[in-house]
Amino acid sequence: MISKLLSTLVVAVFVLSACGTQPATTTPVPIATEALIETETVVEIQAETDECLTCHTDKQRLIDTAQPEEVAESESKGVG
Amino acid sequence: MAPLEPWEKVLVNNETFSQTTHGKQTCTDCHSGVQSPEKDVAHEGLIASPSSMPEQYCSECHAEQTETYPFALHSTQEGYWNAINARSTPEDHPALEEMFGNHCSSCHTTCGECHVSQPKNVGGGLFTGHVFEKTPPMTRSCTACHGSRVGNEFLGKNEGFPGDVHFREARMNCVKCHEGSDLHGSATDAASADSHRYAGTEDPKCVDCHPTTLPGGDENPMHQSHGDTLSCQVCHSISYTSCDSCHVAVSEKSGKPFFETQATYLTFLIGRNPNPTEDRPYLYVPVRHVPADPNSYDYYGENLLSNFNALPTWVYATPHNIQKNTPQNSACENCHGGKADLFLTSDKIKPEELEANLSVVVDAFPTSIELILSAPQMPTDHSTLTSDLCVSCHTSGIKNAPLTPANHATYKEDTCSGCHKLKK
Repeated sequence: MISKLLSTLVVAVFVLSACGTQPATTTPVPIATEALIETETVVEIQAETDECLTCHTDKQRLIDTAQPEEVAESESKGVG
Repeated sequence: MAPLEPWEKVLVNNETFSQTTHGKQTCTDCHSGVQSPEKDVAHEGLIASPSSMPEQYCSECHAEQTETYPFALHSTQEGYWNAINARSTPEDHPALEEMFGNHCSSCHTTCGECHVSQPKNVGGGLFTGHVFEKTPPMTRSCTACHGSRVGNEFLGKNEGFPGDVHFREARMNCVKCHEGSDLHGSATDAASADSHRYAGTEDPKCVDCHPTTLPGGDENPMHQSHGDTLSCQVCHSISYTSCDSCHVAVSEKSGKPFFETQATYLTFLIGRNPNPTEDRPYLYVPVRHVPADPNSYDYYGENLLSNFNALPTWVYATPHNIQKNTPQNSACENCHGGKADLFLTSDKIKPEELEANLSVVVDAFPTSIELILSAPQMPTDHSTLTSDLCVSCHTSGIKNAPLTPANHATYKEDTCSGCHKLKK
């Protein structure tokens, strides 16, 4: 009984391992997939590194980096 | 209007801005600068206000506006120069140009200062996270600059006086009357550009929305009698702001320019229109005192306004506090009964400004109602004559025409038909 089970297992492993190697032999697919992934990555990086927007949409960062404005009392008198 | 915090002025709301047409550009497309996380590096070569160069940054999409705006009054400020030039001589212009650069030129307005941020002379700062507004927000744009007179009148901020009916009742904003095409200008060269706000066609014009007030348009005798002799504001505006004696200088303490006006007060005064035109034929208009003074610019040189009397200091005004019912339009007798407090009489003008205001001062009050009603009617055969020919016959007695009475000496030739109606 045990030897029967063992031989069945060996056959199943062999069959499954044979199936697993099949796609590797179709060469165009991985190349195309790889190229697509690369493009998406570049676009994402560009969007993430728009330094202008990164800073100017960050209220706290603008507060932290703002140059203190000179608050001079107006010397003008009357209605302008 | 409270000034914005420094961070608040430049905070971009990219959730909304990125959904707009302008938000499809990258920041550096318009503002230049450098992509860097370091603020100082990122701001190298920064163009904070790209629309100060509209031909470079706006014209590709807004060609029509870009072509005319450089000649529009908000851009040229010709209204100021029109008055300064008239009151001065060319040899004083260099000193006046320096004065202008320090005190007046900040009112020059770029596209962006109406459509994306508050004007810089009130501190600047983005309206709504860098989203461009087709209609400038009234209180953060229009009345931020035009506040002390127009804004206060229109919004009812002068204590004791209601705001303009167009705002109170209809919540109309500035651009309902002052359309974009008016504000962007229509001239495409300096020679045809407006030299001041009342140059060219009357636009906006009340009758565009109120056509029945034109002669023959309604049963209101006031409209029918006065349609082309009084500006609408003579009957429909209330007290408005006047100012006296503005002086400008540069502070020794801070090095910054400043001004000082000596008085601000509310008046309603009817004066003569110093320059009736085909578009503005009115004989009488409300007049407002402007803060011009012979010594306004003494800091920059002596006697720079050597032709000060060339222009009135009480000027044609179009107060923005229109009401259907006003104290003066409650009865004919208010004007036609010699109610002197409604008119700019010489006793209300400072003696030193009298000469400058001779063209606007009212020296004879409108004829009394009794006299108008008792005036002989014009014979029917006069229907083909034009009114300005009256004196030709009525001072010489041709064809036994009755002579003009002595009490008509101050009357204007072209107002005969105001009393002497044609017999029907």
